[in-house]
Amino acid sequence: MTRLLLARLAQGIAVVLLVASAVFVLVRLAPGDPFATALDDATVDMAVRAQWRAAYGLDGSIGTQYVRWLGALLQGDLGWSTSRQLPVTTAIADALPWTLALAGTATVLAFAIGMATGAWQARHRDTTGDRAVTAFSVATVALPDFWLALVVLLAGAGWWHVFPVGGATDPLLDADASPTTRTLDLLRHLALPLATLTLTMIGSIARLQRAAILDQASAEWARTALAKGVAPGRVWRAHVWRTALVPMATLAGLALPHLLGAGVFIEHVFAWPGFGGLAAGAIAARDYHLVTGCTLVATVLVVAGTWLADATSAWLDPRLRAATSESRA
Amino acid sequence: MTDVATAPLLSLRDVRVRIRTRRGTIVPVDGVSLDVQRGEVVALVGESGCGKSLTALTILRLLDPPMALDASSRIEFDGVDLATLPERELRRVRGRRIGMVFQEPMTALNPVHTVGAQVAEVVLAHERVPRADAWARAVRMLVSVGIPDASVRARQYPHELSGGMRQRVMLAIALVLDPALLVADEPTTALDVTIQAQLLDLLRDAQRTRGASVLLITHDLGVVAETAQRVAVMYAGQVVEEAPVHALFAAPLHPYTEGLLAAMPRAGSARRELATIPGTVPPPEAWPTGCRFAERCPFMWERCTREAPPLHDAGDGRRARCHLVVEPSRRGERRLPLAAARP
Amino acid sequence: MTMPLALPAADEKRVRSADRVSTLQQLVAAPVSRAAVGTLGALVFVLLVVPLAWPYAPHEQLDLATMSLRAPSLAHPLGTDAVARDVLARLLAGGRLSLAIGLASVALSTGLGTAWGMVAGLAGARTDALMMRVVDAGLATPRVLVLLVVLALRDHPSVPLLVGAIAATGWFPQARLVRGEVRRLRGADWIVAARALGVPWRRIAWRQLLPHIAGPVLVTAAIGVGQVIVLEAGLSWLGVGVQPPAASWGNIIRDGTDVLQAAPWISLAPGACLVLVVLCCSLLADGLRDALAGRDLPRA
Repeated sequence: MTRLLLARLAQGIAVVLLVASAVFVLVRLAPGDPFATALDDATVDMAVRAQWRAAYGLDGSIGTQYVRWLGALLQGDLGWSTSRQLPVTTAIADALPWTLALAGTATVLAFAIGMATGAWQARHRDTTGDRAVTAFSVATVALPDFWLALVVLLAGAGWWHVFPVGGATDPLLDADASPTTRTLDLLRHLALPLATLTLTMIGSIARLQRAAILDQASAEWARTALAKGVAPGRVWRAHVWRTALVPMATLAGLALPHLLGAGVFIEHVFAWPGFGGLAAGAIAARDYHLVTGCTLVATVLVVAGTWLADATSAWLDPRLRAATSESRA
Repeated sequence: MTDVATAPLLSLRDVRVRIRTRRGTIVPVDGVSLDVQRGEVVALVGESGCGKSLTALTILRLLDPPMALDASSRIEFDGVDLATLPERELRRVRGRRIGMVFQEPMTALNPVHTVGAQVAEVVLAHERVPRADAWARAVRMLVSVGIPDASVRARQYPHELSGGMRQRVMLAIALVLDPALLVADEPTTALDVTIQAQLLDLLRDAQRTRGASVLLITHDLGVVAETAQRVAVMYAGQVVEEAPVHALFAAPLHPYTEGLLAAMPRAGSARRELATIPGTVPPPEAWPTGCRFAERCPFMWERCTREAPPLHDAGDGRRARCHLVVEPSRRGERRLPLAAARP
Repeated sequence: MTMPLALPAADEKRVRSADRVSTLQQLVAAPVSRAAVGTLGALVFVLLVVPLAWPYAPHEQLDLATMSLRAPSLAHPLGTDAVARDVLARLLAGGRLSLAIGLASVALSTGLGTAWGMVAGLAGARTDALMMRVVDAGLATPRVLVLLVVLALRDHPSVPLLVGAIAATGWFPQARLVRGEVRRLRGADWIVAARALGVPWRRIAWRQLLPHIAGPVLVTAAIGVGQVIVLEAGLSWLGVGVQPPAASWGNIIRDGTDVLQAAPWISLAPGACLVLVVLCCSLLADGLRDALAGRDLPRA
């Protein structure tokens, strides 16, 4: 199994490089460059622009730039952000924790609630409650993320006035405010985007868990366990629920790409200072290095997430440990 | 009241299973009565769909809704009626006093637990012993069912074992607590012939050395001949013949049994074509009135479609559900059954 | 519950390649998918027919002074927006465009994905591995970010570019699905028999494999249409999708975002339409999946 996971890791790294390189090229193929928009002043001399380009490493052919970039990458240097006047690594390092906090909490919440709901549904299948929850799950899955965010914002901050309209912290908060006040303030700001993001995931998690458990409950091994005289509680835990966990690990792997995509919209709506906003801003400002850096980091996250999901699946299901990469498809 | 020592270990009386469907109630097991004496191997034979597996499941009440055991059914095991036993006490019978082996070991064993753990689970479910003890007993049991390298194998998962070995594990699970009765539902069907022979040896072993009784469900008459002392033949949800094994093979009473035996391919036989019983088994939604085999029976006469025969006692421990038992003269009037007339 | 042996064995549904009629029948027989198909049909009808009779055009600006941000009324069931345009007219136009983009993108990505997957499935191990590496890379790309890069760096992304970009970033799951199915079917007896008879791979692919994979491919495509419509809406909402003054459900929501508290209906209506379409697409996909379940090849 370790061999397989290492192989996947190597593949992952290759994929990340491939994608980042593709984006690198894509970005530079677009018309204009940072210095076309950053300076509206047409009087700035061509020579000066050329100087700036050289300073930011944006002169030379695409090939030269690529090699330069690759070299810097291997040393952990992602370049300098023209729009934020910071090293790219710093800009990302500032924004990423906000996104991870939001996405991480949302994932934990969504899985906890979703799996519990799915399990409850499986036990009470075909009751009104079960059907109602299924309808709710189907509905939430169908909602567009950004629209849900708008609705939540409208309801929570617009009509209800309980939660703040956006941002992560209250800019008017006193510098001497106690940690508790700060934490509470943070939580108030976190509440709406968290609720939105969690809602986008709960539906599919509950549906999958319900289906997986119902699948397992009718599995032959549950009957064998009963025939052995095993107590019903243990039959449920060890033979039904435990085997139903396996597809959940795969779902967890798929959650990361979803979070990154949905994150862009949701962070935008709630002005959450996270990674999505950083990337969107970078694109708007044609900040090449930052855009490439962001895409690289995003791909790394996705690949890492999938790798983790694979590892967890193999840990949960011994049948997958001997599988070759062929059977992945 | 019969002496406990000579009373059968297992006594099924009028076992009936009802399934409520949208199109009405169907009764796939319709009044099965069967005895298994202590220390004997009884085979329950029939083709697919006759209800034999369902009958086996009723013993330990393993039916899922919408299937339900009819209230009139009695399942006496060692003096206790399992059909009405409270769930908690039934659980003490399962696995400990009655062990069950299922047909498909790949799906009957949980793929995410080691085989050793699954055997030990039986011990832990019934006795308060430390895990290490349960594991040791599990490994010992795996040895006695003939698994080589048992302590290594015990840590493996079902998918790492061959079909034959998985079935041995199933047997180990069923026998680890030394049950008085072993119910084996088509244990050899999924295996090839050489492994089959080994497994049957194990079953006979269980009977000899542990004194266990065995209820063997199968469709393979060859297996029956090798392993069983008594046979019950099922057709369309009912037992149609019951006899000691030699008597059944030598001189079957029920025309269905006759047909089954005639259909067995024999090496060296002069026939070029395999004999068959014309027609098909009626579906449970449409059990005919009268004898259920009548349409396919070469001896059928008008009484057969009018009146369903009860299970007649034919002496010498033999029973048959056929009017021929009381009207043996009709045997001379053999002709083509109705079913043969249709293509 | 695995069927007990005492019940009559279920009829084995043998696969016939030209058996589409019965699948369609099964599809409309199930009440939920019938509702989904019906709703989608009604929606398309409304989008195509109502504008012919509706007095207002999507670009038409009424009197700015008096007619902007009017609440819903009989004359304007969805009110007017900040520049005095009838929201319902825009909604209908936007629906047509969004739907068209969705269908076109999915058609493209399905075609590309199926072709790629078919070739990879039939190819030798090395080519297959290489082709699947590309698919893996594609699946790992953060789709929204890449789309933003492609679209935002152009001053005025055109609709064909939008369709193309969405399709180009979305064919990977279909490719993986098709490749998996083709690999599975490759070893089936009837394929081997066809090969033994000398039938060339291209013919086998076209006449034998394609009808079989058509089912799962259609199911994925059906879900895909819903997803693409939402994706396009999101991109338009960010400003990089359909450019104003052309209407798309996404950019109508964008217009409404600025006046969210004052005139929530501008954002809510297109959103509700989006939800409806996505729901119908997933229910349709579910129905298709159920209808096709009986046609599965019995596994060896």
